[in-house]
Amino acid sequence: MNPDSAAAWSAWKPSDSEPWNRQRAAHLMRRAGFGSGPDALDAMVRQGFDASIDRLFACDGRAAFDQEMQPMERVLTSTQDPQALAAWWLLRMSRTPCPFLEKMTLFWHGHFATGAEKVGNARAMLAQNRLLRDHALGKLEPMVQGISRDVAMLIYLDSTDNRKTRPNENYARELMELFCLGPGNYRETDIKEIARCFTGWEVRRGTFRFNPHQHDEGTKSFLGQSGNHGGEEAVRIVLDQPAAAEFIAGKLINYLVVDDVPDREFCQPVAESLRKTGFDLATATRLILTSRFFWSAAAIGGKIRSPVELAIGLVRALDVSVNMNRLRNQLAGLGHLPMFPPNVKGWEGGRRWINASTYIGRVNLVRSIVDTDNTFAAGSLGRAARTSARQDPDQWIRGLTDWLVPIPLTETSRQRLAETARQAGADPDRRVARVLCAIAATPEFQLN
Amino acid sequence: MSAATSGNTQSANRRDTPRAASGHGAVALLLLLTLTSPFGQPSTVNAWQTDPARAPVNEGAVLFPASTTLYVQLNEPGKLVQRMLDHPLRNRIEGLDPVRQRLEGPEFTQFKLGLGLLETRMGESWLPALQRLTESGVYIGLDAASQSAGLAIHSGDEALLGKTAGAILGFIKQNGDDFEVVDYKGGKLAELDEVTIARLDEWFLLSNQRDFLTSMADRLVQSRSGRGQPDPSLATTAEFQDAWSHRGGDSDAWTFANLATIRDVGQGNPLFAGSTDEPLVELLFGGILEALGGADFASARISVADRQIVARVRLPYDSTRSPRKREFFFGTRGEGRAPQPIEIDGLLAQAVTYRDLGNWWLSKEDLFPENVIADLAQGDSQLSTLFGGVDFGEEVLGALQPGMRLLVKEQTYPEGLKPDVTIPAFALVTRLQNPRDARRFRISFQSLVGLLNIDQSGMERPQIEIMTTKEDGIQITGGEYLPDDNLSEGLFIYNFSPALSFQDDYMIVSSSMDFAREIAEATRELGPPPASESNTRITLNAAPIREALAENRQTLIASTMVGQGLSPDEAGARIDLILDLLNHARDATLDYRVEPEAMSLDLELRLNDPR
Repeated sequence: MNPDSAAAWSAWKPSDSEPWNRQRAAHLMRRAGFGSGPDALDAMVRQGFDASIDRLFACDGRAAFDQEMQPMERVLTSTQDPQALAAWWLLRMSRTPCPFLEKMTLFWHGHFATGAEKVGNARAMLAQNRLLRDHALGKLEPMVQGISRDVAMLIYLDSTDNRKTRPNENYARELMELFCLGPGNYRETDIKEIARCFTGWEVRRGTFRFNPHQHDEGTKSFLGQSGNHGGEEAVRIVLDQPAAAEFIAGKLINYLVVDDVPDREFCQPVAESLRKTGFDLATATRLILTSRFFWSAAAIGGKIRSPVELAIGLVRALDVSVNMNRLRNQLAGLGHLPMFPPNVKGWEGGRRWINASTYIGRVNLVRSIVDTDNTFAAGSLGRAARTSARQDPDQWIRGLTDWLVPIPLTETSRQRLAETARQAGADPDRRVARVLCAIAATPEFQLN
Repeated sequence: MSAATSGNTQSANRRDTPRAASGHGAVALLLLLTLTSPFGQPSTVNAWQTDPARAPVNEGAVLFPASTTLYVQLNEPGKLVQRMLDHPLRNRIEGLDPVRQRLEGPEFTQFKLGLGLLETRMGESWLPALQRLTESGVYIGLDAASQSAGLAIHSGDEALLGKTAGAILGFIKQNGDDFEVVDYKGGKLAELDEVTIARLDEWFLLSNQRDFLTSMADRLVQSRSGRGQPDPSLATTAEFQDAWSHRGGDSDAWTFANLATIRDVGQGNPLFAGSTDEPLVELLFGGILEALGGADFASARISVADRQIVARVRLPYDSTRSPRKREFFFGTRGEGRAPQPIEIDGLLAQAVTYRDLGNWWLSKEDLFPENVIADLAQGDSQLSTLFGGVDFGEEVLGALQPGMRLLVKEQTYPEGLKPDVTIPAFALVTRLQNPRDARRFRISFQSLVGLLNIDQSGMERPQIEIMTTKEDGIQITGGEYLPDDNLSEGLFIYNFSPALSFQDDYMIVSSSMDFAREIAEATRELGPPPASESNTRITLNAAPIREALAENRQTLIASTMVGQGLSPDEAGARIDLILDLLNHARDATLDYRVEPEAMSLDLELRLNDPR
């Protein structure tokens, strides 16, 4: 094992030099959630690091929250409007008591990318969303098995009709290239053989079914295995490949820690954890979130904020109620609308989130969230505004940025914000709104 | 100024002092703050007594120039504020999160503090003060040409006006804003930061332009002196006098709009284009667009009582000379009248209107641009095919008599076929020129349902079984969904079980078989139809609308949650408030009438007894 790698993945513990404080709690919640406001962060600091990590995985309140959202889901499936489904999910992200679970659901949605526009069936999209949430922190194999027979996925990949005389290779290809192994870890013949395993898997009248008359009962040889395999066995064989754990580990590290993932060797401890636990995703993600690497200077601010992270993070941090339909349209403009990935590869992320046009769009997005016409919960922006009236600009800007921005502001950014605060007028709400927009325009705020 | 110097006007106008309000209202505050009259000291002008015999037609309109674009007068707005504050719903509305947030916010707290100080200086509560200060009227004029706006308040209590103005100006001075007070026409005038104000006896004037304000003051002085030829003013224009003479009794607010100027200012606004590219908009509002494209002015009034809100908009229009292309809307020489409403219990809404669909379709070349005509021609061809090859405009739409009714009622569903989101049943009722055409419509209906089934099967959705019944002279052809265990989970399309029904020459197209049958039976009770007075009349009944909304409470909550990012509890509170508000409403009617010289739109909202 790479010695640097071993040190990087060893457990991080708070210390005098690296205390568990509001800034670190904010880093954890930006990555393992969408962001939190100062009150929630301070509560985490009081609870301690270990307890805060445990709470992320405990998902307290999920059952009650799911029940709260149920009537809305019935309405969505009745009207079959996929656009409304996207707004529903944004609302869910903004209010869930289990932000890590929701964040991981978003990860798996990008991983098993399925576009509602092509699927055209809100009921199937919602079923897939539930499947991803149910397995997001569980074992990988049941999730892949579920996705393999997921109606939305099969419609999206044109795999609703898989006959033995004409096996459809789409799903077989994506199973290896995008979902489990990555490019270079399979051959074209493997695709053809696995496609035969999935013959007879079809969608009829909106539901999945296995049609034995259309299943190829012959021997299939792929990835070093041979036999009369069906689809389930094909999934198992694919996940047994050594490349599978490395591939998934790299994806998780990329999502939770850094945009530029070091080499495969560096990721081995996480891959090893996946192998040892039968791809237990909670164990692997806990290893990541408690590692020295996650808490290193390379990781803090080592990612670009995605538009959803930007929007939902701010909504949660400010505890503000916003029009989710409008937010949905703005996120679509920024190229990150859940339920509508650009293609089967999902969102590339990283530096691609930002260009000249989206930079302005991101600031406008923030402006619409901090709009004083929105309803802020007791405290939140209003409290920040009252605080602002008592403090000098530098002090209260620091009070906002220490939890909103992952890295220290440059002197240029700080001066610009102070100038904005001075020129923002007397009205405290508007003053804070203007400063928040100015913070959103800083290069530091684009980092996560 | 002492009360004595204000003379008879004040004593004649003074009413009983209303009881103090129990709370504060932002609207009232704004009104009060606009009373930033100068000087608590009285002016020395005594010539401002109004002689009722010589009073102008409208004392507010006299103040504004003939070019005034928009004129609004509020009669006793203080009483309106009192009614709003006393309303039983006030506490519920103030309890809503966004409202409460504002009421508890720093801005409103500061406002209350300022109001308290003002009350201290005035020596009385703001609401009775507001009522007395505005009891003789508040007048507002906007002049687009000079980009000026003016406000005139005719106070019923000159002494109070002086005291209030002095108090407010005192605040302004305390804030460090300096201004100079000068004498003007026997009154006082001051230029503040963004506005100029003047006080002339019991009048208070305010404008964003000094010249505009002095012209208002000049006209006021001249009109009150009664000497010489009055300067041209809004009140002297023929348009205003026409509108004023048709104002139709007392109201809480009355407004006049110079449409010719508004059209000039808002060039390109489709509202004044006189036509539209949208066929449906033309069908529904073509006649109104016609009038808006040519009328010189419009007027409106609104009256608010405890249990009734009535509003009327009036546009001059010579309907006897309406163009042939809009006969589908007005009828020949403007004589088209809507059919009488059908009496059915529990209707959510009913609209009756005069529209000649055949005439509308055949006039399309005169109504629409080329691209729309091309689209309609394509539709004409396809619809002609659906209707067995006959000409859609002449032989299908032309087979209908002018006039139609749209009815809406809550519906019931067969077991297992209730959608998760329910909508009311609706039906369109027309009459055939010749009842023998019923067969052609029935065949086309069957073809349409067949096509719908093919489309539905493509989407793996349930199929509709068509059946025809004939009983007591009522023939109904309609569809029912085939129950399907795999697909029957609350689909939205279960709201629609299309039906076509005939009774005598009545043809009913409905989204529900039961509703089609109910309407067909009700048409038997209709005798030879007496002409109504309206071109279009819409009636809404609050109780069944409330029931329909309550049935969909979860849907509405879901939609509010997404639309406003709220929790179920917060969204539920808002929906429940709407349902509560509907409990207070009884019904509403919108009556559109076309008379030889004008058209009018009357809106009447009736409320239940709030107690």
